[in-house]
Amino acid sequence: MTEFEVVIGIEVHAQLKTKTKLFSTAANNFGDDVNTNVTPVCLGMPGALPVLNKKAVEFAITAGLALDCEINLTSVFSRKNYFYPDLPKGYQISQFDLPICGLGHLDIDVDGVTKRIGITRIHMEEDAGKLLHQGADGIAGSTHSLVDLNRAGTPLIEIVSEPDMRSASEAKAYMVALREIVQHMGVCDGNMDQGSMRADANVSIRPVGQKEFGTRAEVKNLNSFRSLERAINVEVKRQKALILSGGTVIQETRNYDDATQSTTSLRGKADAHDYRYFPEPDLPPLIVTQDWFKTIKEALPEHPVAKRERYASELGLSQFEIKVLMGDIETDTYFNAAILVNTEIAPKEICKWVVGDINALLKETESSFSKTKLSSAHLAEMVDLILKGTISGKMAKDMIGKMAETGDAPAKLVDSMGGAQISDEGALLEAVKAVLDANLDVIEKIKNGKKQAAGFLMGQVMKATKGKAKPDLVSKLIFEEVKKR
Amino acid sequence: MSVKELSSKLKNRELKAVDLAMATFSKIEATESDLHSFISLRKEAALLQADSIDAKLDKGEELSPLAGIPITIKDNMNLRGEKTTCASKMLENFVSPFTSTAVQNLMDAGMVVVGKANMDEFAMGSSTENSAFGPSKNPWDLTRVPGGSSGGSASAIAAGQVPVSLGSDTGGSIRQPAAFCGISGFKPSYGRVSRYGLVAFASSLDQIGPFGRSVEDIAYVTEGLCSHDVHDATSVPAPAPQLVSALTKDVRGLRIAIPKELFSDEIDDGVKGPVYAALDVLKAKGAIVEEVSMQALVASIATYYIVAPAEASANLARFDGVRYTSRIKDAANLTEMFTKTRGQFFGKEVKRRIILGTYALSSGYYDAYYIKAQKARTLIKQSFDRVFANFDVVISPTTPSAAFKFGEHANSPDKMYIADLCTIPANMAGLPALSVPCGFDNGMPVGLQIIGKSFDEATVLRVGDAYQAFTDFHLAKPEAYA
Amino acid sequence: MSIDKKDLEHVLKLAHLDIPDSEKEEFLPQLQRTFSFMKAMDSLPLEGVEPSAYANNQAQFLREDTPENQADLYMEKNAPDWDQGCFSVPQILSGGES
Ligand SMILES: [Mg+2]
Ligand SMILES: [Zn+2]
Repeated sequence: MTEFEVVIGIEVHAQLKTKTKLFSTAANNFGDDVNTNVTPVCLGMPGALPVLNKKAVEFAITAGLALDCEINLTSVFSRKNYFYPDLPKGYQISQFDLPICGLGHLDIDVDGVTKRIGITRIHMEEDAGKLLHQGADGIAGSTHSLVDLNRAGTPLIEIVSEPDMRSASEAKAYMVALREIVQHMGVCDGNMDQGSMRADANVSIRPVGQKEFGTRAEVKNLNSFRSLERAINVEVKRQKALILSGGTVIQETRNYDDATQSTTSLRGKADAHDYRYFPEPDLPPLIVTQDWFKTIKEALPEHPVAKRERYASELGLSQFEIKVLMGDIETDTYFNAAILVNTEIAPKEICKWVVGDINALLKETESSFSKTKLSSAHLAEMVDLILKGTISGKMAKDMIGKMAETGDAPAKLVDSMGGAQISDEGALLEAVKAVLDANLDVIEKIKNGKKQAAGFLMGQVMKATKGKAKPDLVSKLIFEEVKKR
Repeated sequence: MSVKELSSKLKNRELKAVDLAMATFSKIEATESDLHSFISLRKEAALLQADSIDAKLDKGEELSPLAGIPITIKDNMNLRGEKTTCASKMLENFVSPFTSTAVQNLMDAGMVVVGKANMDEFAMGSSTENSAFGPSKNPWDLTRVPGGSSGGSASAIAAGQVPVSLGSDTGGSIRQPAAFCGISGFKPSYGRVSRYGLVAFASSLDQIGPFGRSVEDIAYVTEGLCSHDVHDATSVPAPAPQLVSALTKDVRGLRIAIPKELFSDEIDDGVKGPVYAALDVLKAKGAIVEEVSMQALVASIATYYIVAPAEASANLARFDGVRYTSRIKDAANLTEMFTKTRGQFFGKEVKRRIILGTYALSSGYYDAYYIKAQKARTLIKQSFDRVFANFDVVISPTTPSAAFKFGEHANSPDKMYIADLCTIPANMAGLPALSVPCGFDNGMPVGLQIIGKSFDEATVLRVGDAYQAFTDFHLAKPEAYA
Repeated sequence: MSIDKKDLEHVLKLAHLDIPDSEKEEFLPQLQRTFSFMKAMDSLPLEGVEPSAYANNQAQFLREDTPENQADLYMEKNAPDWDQGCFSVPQILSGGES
């Protein structure tokens, strides 16, 4: 039987985190009331003109630099012409011949081995609006559709990869790595369920050993890592079955439906588009001056690869901790905010809580690092209290739940939780002496080498102090006192 | 009366802005049924505007020389709260939510906008015969066209309905009607006047500019129009040029190039005669005139009728029945709504140009037409660069003929395209270009075109103003409206 | 090379224009005559010439990333069919996107 090799290239549309749209001053905001974030430009009003957002250019270049792309200091916008109700001008302003970024690459981890995936180009373009289909769940069977133009004109970068991936899991690894890049470079929130990162996969197969690529199908609508992986596997299966039964794959666009886990043809060859691209006359060439380029390079956020290394070598974080931080931008942002609150505290002490108890609590309560009332400043204060001995680790664990619930500062909670830990030697010595006086037999045991018997004495001291005694101090005092007797 | 005279009378309170506006409306009301220069008037708003100017002048506030002067704007420029129809059934009921920067600049200077002028639909045409609301008439002969596409803006000046007006010029749409109506019309350099709020025809060619009786009037209005606008990425980041002070009436040593390609057989002798006579006047006053060859100009019309329709085919895609246009009733589905709305509410010339442009951009023809035209455009620009290395201005007839009769080109729109022969090159190269009246051909006015270096509006207007100081063709008025 | 009936039909589809047959008959010879102008370009030395898409050789102006408030945009007033704060369009699938 013929063995097939899978060939995958991915196009990712990432929405840029600008305050305004690509060509208009409307707010770039997800989830607002329909048709509120619009200007005459977003509505394609007669007489309205596009004016490019400088920040979007900086973000596109930042992403390009992070992916080791060549940056084209002169690039050009074009009009891509087609009719659709979510496209107000009847054309999308995009980059065609001369995009802002050329060849680059991204290294991914495939089962512990690094593999380099080529980036073909990155170009800037505007997003379309949204259609709300009425009378049915989707476009099929709907009686009419409503047009909301809030998303129209949202700045996008389209990152096009080379056909370098050979399996669905490689494709997923690429997507994960790409998301890490755009998130940590601060250009896109990477929020796939809100559509701020969307993937299309070009999938083809060829008999192993064959040099030429097979005919590819473009699979659209891949809005999670899982659907990306599944859709590719489903499409590969379809193509294999088709070829083995004597059929041929046609070049087309296919839609992936996660509910049925199948891909269906969106449009046949017959009505292939003729987009009639031509240079956008409203926008002269985009020239990035050397000075501006230098400023962008100097302000470049830390690359995730460098960040991982720094976390390990400078902050001494474990590989597990690094994985948790890097896997979610909110967690990492929170951690970095917390370590800045009090630079006396070793970041590792903070990290322990972030990736451990707080992370677990937020998962349990379906909250997140950006939503929780437990601020990074309060976390830093709490760790400080632990290190100063004011509270015990055990108290801190209880405190986290309360802080997340109420948003109260740790200092305030210390009192309501029964006061601070007793770490005053004098006060504790009284309690230790009293316990020793009442347990002379235990002292004997210890003197005879049964050191673990001290645990009992410790328990008694804790009981006497209602659990507030600082444990290591109590332990020290017990042994000192036993020696004296 | 000139802008300067009106301005001084308004300033010393001999004349009230409200009375001037009232008189303007009376003149319009008396003549409009013959001429049809306007698509809409805004009397109430204009009088309110005039009244507020009077209040300021009464208080002795220092205002722009344009304050209180009535103006009409072409109906492809947005003015918030007013209809912008572009003389199209497609936008018959469209009320604009924003004001174009050029118009706003003039209103900020205190100009009183009295109405919106008739035009060829979406500025496509050379006669206003393509207006969905009926043509405007040439005040010199009501059986003849006023030119186009800014025909209403031109006929309004020639008939004395308003002192000054705005048009837009993509391939000659200001200069050609100015020539046909015996008035002055000016297209500034591309990028000088913001296009924000001007409904686009061909974005890389469109420029807003003024009409007036004299070049001096035009200098005043142009100064008010120009500004760097952050809403137009092609607007040049430069302050408005000083133009009125540049009118020195001196042409001594001025180097004038006359390209033989713009004096070809396609130009009527009745037009060439007055133009050569005008060149003699300028020579007599000390200018140096030399014939040059600009071979690339032979492809001007070809280039234009690819570039402009190509851009237009995209610019007019937004008129789709979804957001603010007319829409056919009871469409069975989306595609039918799109195609029938566009088929029904666009006029024939607009549809022809959309077809032309779509074809020129379509796969398989892009290189043969669009790219070739872009290359020809490069050669046209380079030919101007070469000429301007040695000359200050290029002078030619504005149009190949004087105003033609209504219906003369009804079945052959392509014949009408020849009317843009001399005006297109300045749009292709983004240059400032002026048309001034320089005589008559069988009783109909003839225009002289002065093209200048990029952003050298001052020289162009200086030459035109000097010519008007030496001659009085610009003072001639059609008898019926004298 | 000039536009023929088949090209015209194709272009009308691309441009989303539905026009009566009488207009097609009228337009075709007019368009063909217009395309005959285009021969003028062949007399020029176009080889190796860079195409110009713009009137001026200028760099693009860029704006700052600052939101601006909007006055009433007359969306409802101008919309042919306005429903629930949106522009309403007829059913999409029966004719298909083309
Ligand atoms: Mg794509
Ligand atoms: Zn895209």
